[in-house]
Amino acid sequence: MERNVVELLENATRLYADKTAVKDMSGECSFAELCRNAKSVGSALTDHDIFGYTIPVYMEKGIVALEVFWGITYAGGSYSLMNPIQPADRIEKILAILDAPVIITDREHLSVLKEMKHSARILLAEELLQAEIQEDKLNVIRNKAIDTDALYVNFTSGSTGIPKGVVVSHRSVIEFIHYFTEIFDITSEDVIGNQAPFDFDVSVKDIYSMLLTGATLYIIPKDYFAFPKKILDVLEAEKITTLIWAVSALCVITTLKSFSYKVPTSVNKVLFSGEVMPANHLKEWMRVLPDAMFVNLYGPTEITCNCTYYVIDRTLNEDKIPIGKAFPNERVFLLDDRQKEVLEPNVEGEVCVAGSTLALGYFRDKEKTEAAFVQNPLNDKNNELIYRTGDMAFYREDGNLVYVGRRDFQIKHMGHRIELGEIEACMNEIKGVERVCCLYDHAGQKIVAFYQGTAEKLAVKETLRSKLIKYMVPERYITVEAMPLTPNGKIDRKSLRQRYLEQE
Amino acid sequence: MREKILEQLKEINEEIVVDTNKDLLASGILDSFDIVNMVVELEEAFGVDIDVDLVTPDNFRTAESIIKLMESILA
Repeated sequence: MERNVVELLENATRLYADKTAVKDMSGECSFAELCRNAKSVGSALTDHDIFGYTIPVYMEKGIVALEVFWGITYAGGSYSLMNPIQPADRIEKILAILDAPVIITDREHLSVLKEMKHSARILLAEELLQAEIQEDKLNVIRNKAIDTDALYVNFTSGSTGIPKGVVVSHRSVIEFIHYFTEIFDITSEDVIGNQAPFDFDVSVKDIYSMLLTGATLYIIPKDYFAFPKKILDVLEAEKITTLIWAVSALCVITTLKSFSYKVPTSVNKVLFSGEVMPANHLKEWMRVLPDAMFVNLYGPTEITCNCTYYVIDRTLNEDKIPIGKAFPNERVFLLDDRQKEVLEPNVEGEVCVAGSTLALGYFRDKEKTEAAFVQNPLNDKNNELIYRTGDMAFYREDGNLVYVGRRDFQIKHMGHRIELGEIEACMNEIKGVERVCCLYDHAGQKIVAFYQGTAEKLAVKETLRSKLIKYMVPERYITVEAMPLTPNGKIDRKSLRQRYLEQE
Repeated sequence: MREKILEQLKEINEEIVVDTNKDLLASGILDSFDIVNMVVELEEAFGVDIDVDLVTPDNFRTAESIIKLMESILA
């Protein structure tokens, strides 16, 4: 097996040199061009000594972002995409955590980045791409690389208000993607329609499936997901075969009954993740694509993309779709409150994962890493780390796992994983806000913020918009004279939920 | 009717109606998933079906364009 993802890039270049690797709104790029450009970026970066650093990449998803990712890899670093859609405040927090010597951006985003607080040197992708390739220097770095080196860092919501960087290694991605493409039969014939932003690990499956198999990746602009006609036109025009999408993106099409306009008949594989797929939406997709394979994928960023999958059985007509069984390179099991394994069906336990795809940990955060990646309580013979997901599930009679919910205050909203604590921490910093509690309305898919204080609701919302990613900003604000408390002095969430339901 | 639509838009998201000529897409007030949710909320509030053909950037660019769209559907 390969040690480094640039080996995948070079293998693909040998096998499919002139075949189109990636298309985006700016044009297209063959595997040979992709490899050449990544090497140019990598050669330029060797002058900046980024070996071992995680380099922020501040730009939109697209061909250039991929060339920069693998340029960083060639130069011995790992990458972390900063999506420009995020408010400056949050990006600054992440830049401070990463503390990298350089940040790579493009001309379009240069002026915004220059206004932000950080001490790194800004490099322009357009200039790095012009550099001459220096194979000797790249080879020296390659010889130092091992498979457990970090490949990327993805930041997720952190309960204390500080985002957490999940560090994922080359080995984890390479092993995962070998199984993933084999099980779902992704080949060089496929055209993958990318939906996910590159700071969201759903995109890792798109990007590395393309690299391993020689498939073509079509990067669909994020704006298209407001206007289903545009998506359906692209799926048809580009003859897209494979969708590895967030559930919410698939639901955009069905919510607006868009199949009356056009059915994307070229699509033969639909893989979804991020949240529970509503059965009526899935049925509509399956109705219009009677021969396609539909797969429910499950897993948090900390275990590299996904740890379980379930291929939908068309004969069963299921309303509750299981998350299925483990990928072959991972062990997925349930633990009860007494740290004992749950084996019998219909009994809930926490989903735990072991195997080669466990992340290396949280970026420079020993405490959080040690709390989440722990010794397997079932293994008293050897050291074996497992990741405790915080997700609760049970086994169906046929052995497939069924997701139940969270055991903490993390939520899934529009496919994004959010710690309500991060929102509360931001709200607590606002003048005129004294005490805060956020709840999630699952039925209405809304984040609801309760607060005590004199601050105006609209002002609170506007302030949050400048600090949090848009999908984290609560939709509803309810002021309370005093927070209701439980006998232990904790905020009484049940009573707040009751109050919210009465108001709605 | 305009007032009723404005009221409903305000209910969905107060920021939409602060300046009814503001570009909601460029300013980031609405992102892709917001538009779908808004269509659903407008459909429910007014008991109409908004055809996918009408869900275009032009029709959802500003509060004014959304009002115009809803007025034509409700006419």
